[in-house]
Amino acid sequence: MKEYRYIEVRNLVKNYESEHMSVNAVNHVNFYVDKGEFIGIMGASGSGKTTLLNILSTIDTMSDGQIFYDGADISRMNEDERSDFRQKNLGFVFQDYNLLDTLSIEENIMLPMALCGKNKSEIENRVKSISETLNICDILDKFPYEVSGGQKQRAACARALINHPKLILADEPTGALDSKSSSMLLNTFQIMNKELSATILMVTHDVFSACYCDRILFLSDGRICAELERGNINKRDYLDRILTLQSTIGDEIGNWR
Amino acid sequence: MINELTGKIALRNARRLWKDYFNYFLTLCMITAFMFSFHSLLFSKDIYKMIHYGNTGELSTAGTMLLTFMAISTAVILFIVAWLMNYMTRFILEKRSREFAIYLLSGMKKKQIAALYWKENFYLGICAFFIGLLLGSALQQILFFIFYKSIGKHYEFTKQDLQTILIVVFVTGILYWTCFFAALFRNKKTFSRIEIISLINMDKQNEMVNEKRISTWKWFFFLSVGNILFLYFLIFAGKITKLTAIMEMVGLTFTFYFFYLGLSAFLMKYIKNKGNLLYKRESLFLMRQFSSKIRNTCFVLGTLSLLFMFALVGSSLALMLSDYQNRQLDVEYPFDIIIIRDDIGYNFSKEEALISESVAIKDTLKYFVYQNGTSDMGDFLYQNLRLFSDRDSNPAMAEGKRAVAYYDHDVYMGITDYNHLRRMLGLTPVILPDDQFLIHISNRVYQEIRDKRIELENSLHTGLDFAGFKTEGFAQNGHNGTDYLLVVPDAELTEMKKYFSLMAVMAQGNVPESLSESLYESAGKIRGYDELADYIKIGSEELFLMPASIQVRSREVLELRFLMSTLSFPLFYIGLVFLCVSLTVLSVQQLSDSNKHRFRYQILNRLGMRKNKIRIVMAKQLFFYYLCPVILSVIISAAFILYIGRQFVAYTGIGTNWGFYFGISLLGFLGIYILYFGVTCIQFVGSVE
Repeated sequence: MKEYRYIEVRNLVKNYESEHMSVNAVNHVNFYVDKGEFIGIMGASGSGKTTLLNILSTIDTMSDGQIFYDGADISRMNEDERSDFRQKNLGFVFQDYNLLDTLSIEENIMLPMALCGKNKSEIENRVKSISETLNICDILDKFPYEVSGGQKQRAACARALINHPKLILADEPTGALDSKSSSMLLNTFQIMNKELSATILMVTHDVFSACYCDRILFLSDGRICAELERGNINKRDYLDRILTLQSTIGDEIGNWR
Repeated sequence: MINELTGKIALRNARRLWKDYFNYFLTLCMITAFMFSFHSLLFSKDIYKMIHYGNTGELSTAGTMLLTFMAISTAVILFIVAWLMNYMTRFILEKRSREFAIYLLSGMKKKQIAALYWKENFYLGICAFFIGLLLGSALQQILFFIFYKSIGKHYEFTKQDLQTILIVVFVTGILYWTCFFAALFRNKKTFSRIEIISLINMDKQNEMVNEKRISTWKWFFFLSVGNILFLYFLIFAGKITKLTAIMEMVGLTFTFYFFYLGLSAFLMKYIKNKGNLLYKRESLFLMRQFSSKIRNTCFVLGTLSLLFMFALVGSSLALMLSDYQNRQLDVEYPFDIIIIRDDIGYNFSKEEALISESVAIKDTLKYFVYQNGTSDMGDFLYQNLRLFSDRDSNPAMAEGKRAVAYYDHDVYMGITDYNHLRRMLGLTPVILPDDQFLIHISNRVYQEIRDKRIELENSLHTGLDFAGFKTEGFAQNGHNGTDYLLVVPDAELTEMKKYFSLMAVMAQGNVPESLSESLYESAGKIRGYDELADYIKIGSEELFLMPASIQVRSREVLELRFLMSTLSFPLFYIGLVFLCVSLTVLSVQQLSDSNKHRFRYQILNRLGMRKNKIRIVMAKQLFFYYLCPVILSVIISAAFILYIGRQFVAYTGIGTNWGFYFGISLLGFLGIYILYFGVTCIQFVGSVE
């Protein structure tokens, strides 16, 4: 009997075709994500990690292959079905926060629930509990341009979590943050993962961020070229392993970003 | 070399940016077309003839009115167009600030970039001007056709019109380019002051949500709504006085400029208080977008509402005037020709001969009106008509008005002549017993005094019983009395003195308009010129009637229609230009923010909103923003038109269906509005997607 996986990517291919050339941005990629896992994807610039993330986010289509979310095959969905799927199953955290500047932090957080048609009391309770967990209660009334980058990113995390998504996709979430805010955000990710049982897939080029993940996939030229699992080792050893693996791949491939 | 380069870049930019500039370009074309076509009215040879007295070269009253109204319209339009051009050039500057910053960083000088921008706008302006002239010449033909039709004439294009076109192109060019250069000059100054860093940051600025003092500002919303309700109360309760009118003027200015601030604060407060509506799907997003947009553009929205209001009131008023014109003419000029002389020995033989030369006469009556030294009826009207309501506060003014309106004595006519005149007009003759008299009165005055019949009867000392009123059109602007005529049995006339001698003529077929000038010439007078100081009085009519001792209906109708058109055409002109300017500003406001909107809608898409749903949300966003200034202006304009409609009844005695004409204006208005909304919607969705 075949083993059940929470999220499964099978033979995923993404080609960009033009008159003069064809590029394989993602080339027969296979991997899985278990429920409650915090997985990282690392790779050099142009390795295909953002393309992979976009396909997983359902905002881009695949050329071939299949992606199953809890058994549901998104490769067979049309655009509207993908939108509905996204609304109910995915949460996003982007490098540039992607908060709406005309909405307060609280309104940004509650927006996905309101769009789903949830009722007022349910929305209020959920916003309250997530804000408390992520420690952003004191900025709820403020607007995005009134708070720091770290606070904005935590608000984005709260928004990503609000609809109990199957998977949270984070695209270079620490890219625009200073080191202190970065570690605060990564702690937030851990809280989301451990306390709120969120499944997280994070794309990053930052080794420090990557060492918060349970497992890391290394992408090169559109293929998964290595995989590293933390297991029970401590953070420092894990960091060393990532760096070693990165330099090994780097020697083979070229420059890392 | 550098000039050549900037020239090339400017031309390429103007081509590349045509999408951004499209609505503005369209509006410039339309404004040029309106300017050209409306001003060509002023320079038409036929109209020149109509607005000057005979051979004296002096402007007639209608001419003075036409020129005055056109001058006022042109001044107002110039101001608005200059504002639009300035607004647009500044707007585009902000939109392209990054591009200009890169030019600066690449080593170009501010002067060169200003010159580049200047050239781009110049190319745009010159294209719009010439296309506008082409459109304008087509519009001119339509406008002339309507204008001639409205004064009852047929329009044909002649070679002479070609010369006129050249003059009009010159005048339109001067007006257009004055606005254009003024706007560009202002922007050149802005350029010289601006720094690279501010150019770089200009388009990156967040849309700040200003929630300061919303608890105070929200009261402006209630005050504005209260003020509008108060305006309606004043109109319905008939309580418009000088004081309340001034109060409302101040109140409405406040309403136009603070309503949006109030509305935005009201919505923000609602959002802050977490109203239930917020939790209904995309309502939160839309309410936030809407409240922050109107907060940031409340002044512009106020100005647009004001312009919309002028457009609506102007066109409704223009339609009401043409309705008045069509309905009132038969009442004011029932006889084909009617002539009055204060010389009671005059036999009209000269006039009769002249008329016979021009037209076949169906029926003629030479007759007299009489007076017996009394002025009871005149006194009664002086005491009771609204026109003289200032007799206590300003007696000199009221007496002055009376002297223009009424003869010194009441005017009487014998029943035989009266019935003859009625037959001439196709009216049933009346039977008047020997001990009775009747009053033939203009319907407008009758409406005003009909509730005071007993008082009137008591104030008249004719020694006869009052048989009643007759109100058909009866040439009562000086000929068969002024406003009123007392009709008595013939026997009563023996006691009276002949007052004026008259001749009324009904003709077979059309009476040539030039007969009027010929009759005046034979009397040694110039039509409409000498009579201002003459003996003839015109009654209490206040709208557009001039004294005319010799009234040739075809000529008077032409004159009156012309007068009405001189009022209604500039009103349409202003209305059209205001509407186009407002809609351009609205559409540009939305389109210019398309980068910000694109980002916001991308987020909604990532949050799982379907593309179709996003399009609906975009349409809703645009719709609310477009609807906002319209609703305010429609509500306030309706109040004005309601008031003016009521005044129309009071001044003319003719009930006007104000709702109908307001509705027609609104429909026309919405037609143009929907066109702009549709174009903006398509462009908006296109630019966001």
